[in-house]
Amino acid sequence: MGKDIVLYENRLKNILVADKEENPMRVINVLKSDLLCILKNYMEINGDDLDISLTVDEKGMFVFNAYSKFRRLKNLGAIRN
Amino acid sequence: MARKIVITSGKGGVGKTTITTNLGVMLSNLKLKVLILDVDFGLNNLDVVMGVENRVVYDIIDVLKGKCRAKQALLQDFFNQNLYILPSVHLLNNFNITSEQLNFVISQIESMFDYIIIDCPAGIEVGFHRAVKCADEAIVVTTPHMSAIRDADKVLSLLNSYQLNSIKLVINRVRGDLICDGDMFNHDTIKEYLNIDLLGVVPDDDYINLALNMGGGVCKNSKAFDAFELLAKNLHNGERNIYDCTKKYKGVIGNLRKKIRKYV
Repeated sequence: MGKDIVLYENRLKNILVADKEENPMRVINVLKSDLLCILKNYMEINGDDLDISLTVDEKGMFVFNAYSKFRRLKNLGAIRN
Repeated sequence: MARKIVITSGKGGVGKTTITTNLGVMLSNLKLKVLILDVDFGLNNLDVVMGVENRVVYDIIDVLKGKCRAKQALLQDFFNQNLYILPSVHLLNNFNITSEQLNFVISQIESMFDYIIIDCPAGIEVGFHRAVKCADEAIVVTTPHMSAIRDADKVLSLLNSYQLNSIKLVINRVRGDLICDGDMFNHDTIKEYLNIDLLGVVPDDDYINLALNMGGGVCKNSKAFDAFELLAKNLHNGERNIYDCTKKYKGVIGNLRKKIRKYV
């Protein structure tokens, strides 16, 4: 007893990180469809052209990455109001 | 307009009702008009904790059924004229209360008060959402234990979905001797992991147990009283004074006190 606080803290950190990593798929799907709606105003892009990921780092912070490849940017005048 | 604050936790038994009651008492001691409201329908205990269970005439269902006005259902505290309780129901009888109905009841009386403190049921089911929908601010209560901190983290994620003006943390049942020995998380660690503004810390105090059995707030000459007083001042004045639970366990006498608590 007494000097295990670091052990407790690591355990708590692992639990909280694991909880955050659980089931982010729903958020990812909604986020992806929202992002696609916005991006389609600026570029020719399909759902398959956009990869997004949501991970949790060791400090418990969410890390969001979006990666996309597309062929053509739209002209600014083509952006709908 | 009253500040409507929901006291929630996720995990049961962390002291939501104790915090609700004593925060209500301390705020009313600051000459503020306070209403405390238990929305844990069917499993409500606020009337017992406040020691007014024998004085209940009308409850929230009577207000919703039109048997009385909301003002008539209010109970004034014995010792503090600024503190009121709106009794909840023990038997639901298939009467499902929605957040809109609850908001309707609150809207009838909110102009009378400076603070409306809502005691939320444990868990993250319908009762939790019903309580949060009626509030503008939230206080998340946790104890310095892993399971409670984990549940608080989940509740914080849910609370972020609501448009609340502020979400603050209260850590209850903190034992200074265990923190000094490195056997309990201190408030800075919990605050860091939950990434939330700390409103206050309440020590583990036998007087709280006494107050729960007697009904009403904790007595004046106790550690818990000082902690709740700081909590109320932090909430009302926006101060940031956190009760130091480890103060008594520092130095030679503190070490002795720690050993006595551990072995006796």
